[in-house]
Amino acid sequence: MRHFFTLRTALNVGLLAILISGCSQPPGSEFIGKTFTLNGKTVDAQSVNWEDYAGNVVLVDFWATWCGPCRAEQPKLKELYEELQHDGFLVVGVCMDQKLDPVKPFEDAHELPWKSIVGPEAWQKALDYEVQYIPRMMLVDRDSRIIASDRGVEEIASEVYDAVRSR
Amino acid sequence: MPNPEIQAILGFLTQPGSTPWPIATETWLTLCDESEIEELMDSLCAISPPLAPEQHQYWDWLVDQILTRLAAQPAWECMFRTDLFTSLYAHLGATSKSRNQLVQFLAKRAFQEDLQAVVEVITTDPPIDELHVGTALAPLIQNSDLEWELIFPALLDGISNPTTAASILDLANFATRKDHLPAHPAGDMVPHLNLMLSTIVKQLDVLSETQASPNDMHDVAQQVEQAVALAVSLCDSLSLISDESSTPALYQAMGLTHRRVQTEAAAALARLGEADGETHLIEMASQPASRLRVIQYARELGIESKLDPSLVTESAVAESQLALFLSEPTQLGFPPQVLEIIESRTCFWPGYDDPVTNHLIRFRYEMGEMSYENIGIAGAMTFAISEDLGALSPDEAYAYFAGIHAEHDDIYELAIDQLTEPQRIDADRCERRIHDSGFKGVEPVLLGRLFERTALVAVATKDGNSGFVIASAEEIQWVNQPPSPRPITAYQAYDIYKGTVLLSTFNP
Repeated sequence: MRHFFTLRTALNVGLLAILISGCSQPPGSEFIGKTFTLNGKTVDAQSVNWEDYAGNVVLVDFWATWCGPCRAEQPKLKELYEELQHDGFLVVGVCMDQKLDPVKPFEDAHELPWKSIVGPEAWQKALDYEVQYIPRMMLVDRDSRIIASDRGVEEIASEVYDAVRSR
Repeated sequence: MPNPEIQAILGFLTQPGSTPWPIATETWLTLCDESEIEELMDSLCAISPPLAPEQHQYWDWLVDQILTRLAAQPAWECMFRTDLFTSLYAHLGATSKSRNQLVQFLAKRAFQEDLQAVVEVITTDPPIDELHVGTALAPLIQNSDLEWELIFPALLDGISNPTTAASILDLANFATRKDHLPAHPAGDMVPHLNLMLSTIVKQLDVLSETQASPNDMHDVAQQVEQAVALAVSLCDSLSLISDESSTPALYQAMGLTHRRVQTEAAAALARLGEADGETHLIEMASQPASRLRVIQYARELGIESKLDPSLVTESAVAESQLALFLSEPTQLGFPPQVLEIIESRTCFWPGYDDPVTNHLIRFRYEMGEMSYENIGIAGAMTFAISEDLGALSPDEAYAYFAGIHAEHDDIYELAIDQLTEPQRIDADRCERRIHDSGFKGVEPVLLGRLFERTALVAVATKDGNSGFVIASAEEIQWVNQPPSPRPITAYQAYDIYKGTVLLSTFNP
């Protein structure tokens, strides 16, 4: 069987170029200024209570093990967390996996230092904040108000630094 | 007493370099008892992992040979234990490119414990990539007596893995469409499927914004392929489930520039009663790469009469077949801008009992200052190659496509420097005929055998033109080869000769 690999590689430049891009408001912007709370259970049945996060700057990460872009964000988020964790910055995940079997092995393998809620509470939170696609990151200030929402760490990092420094 | 052949194979695999590869293995595997194959598989599993990377080629080759041997009889006649296959599968490790064949065998044999093992493997330790997963599951579609309740819903546990998701959904869609299941097995996962589809759509949107460097281009193209495949499967699943909550995600998918996703999303929306979906689906028939799917969905939805009649003719369908072929990830990956039928011909064709109509189609890609044009075929076969067929006459082009897939023990080619003495004598005789016929600059390239005919293919000039001359005892054929950045090879010239002989035999 003969293929077109060389030619194809060249033509893919054109393919990528002609795909039309779209621009819009960052996802979840309409919730900025609203109060945020979150309660639920982790995959190993630990409780997650918003009272434990209140008073900190919190980044809420909607993610799933099956979501490639979410997985790509997590090392960057981990780096940000490790840099700012002693300045009152916390992360909490909202895991959108329907089947939970892969969640714990994933969290362990990637040594995620924060908790993620799973199951009905996670899905309800996604519904509440109209999370149609992931990754979605929502930033909550020390007064539990949503101050930013976007799809990745790079897009939201400057707001994180501003919020942490404004103590 | 230990089997010496098995011991030789094990010796090679456990002490690479210290013993030679047992070269008689292929013959032994063809002739040995089935119990010896079983013993070999058991012994292979007993070798301590991990396998050395340099050994993978030998393991892959062994797995190929074992399964080729087992394929010599119906799979259900093989009484090997299921765990023999799953153990070897696990033993080969996640990077193996042959172990999917072991799952494929189990899927083909389809004993109850086989199907349970297939589900277990796909959901917990799948083959290396989407293509291998698809190959492993393919026999399930061909089995009309399959116990689908052994497959679903259990297989849906693998839906969160990007490597397996599309194949699993495709299988679920197939089983639902064929009424093998009372309802779509993912019917209670609609919110999850909606989220997946929206996420994939966003991912494709982001990828379209990515300015890929030449180094990243392959990765980005691969991500696009994977995302498109999953989006297509998800749209079809959501279409078959037909839950109104999927409408927003499907509209997002219909808004993508990728035609295949647009078509699937439009069909799903049409099934949900969305007029915009139906309108868009009908419009997509104008796109050759989408036309076949549109026609299929229009039939399913009972709206075939709304299609433009000129888009459902035999030649319009042929254009669509070639556009789809060229859009395959293994080909060019996207359809050409221009397709034009240059000739249609009905004749007897190798492999067919009745006459078939074939269409030669000129296709062209235009990318700014860069363009690429060639000729493909649709009809009995759909095919195109990268070498330039534009200079061939229609007779030669048909002959090429007829000859390219001619396979038989008595059809083969040998490079001119690999001939035995008797073959050398044949070649010399043919070469003399070429010289006697006035060809200049003759440089023999290969000797071909086509049943009782022996032909020499040589580069030559005729009346100042370059090309290939193919000479046998029966005839001399000239294939002109004007200068081209992608000239045909001597082997392709021989394909033309083979096709010419075959077509003239079938169509006296």
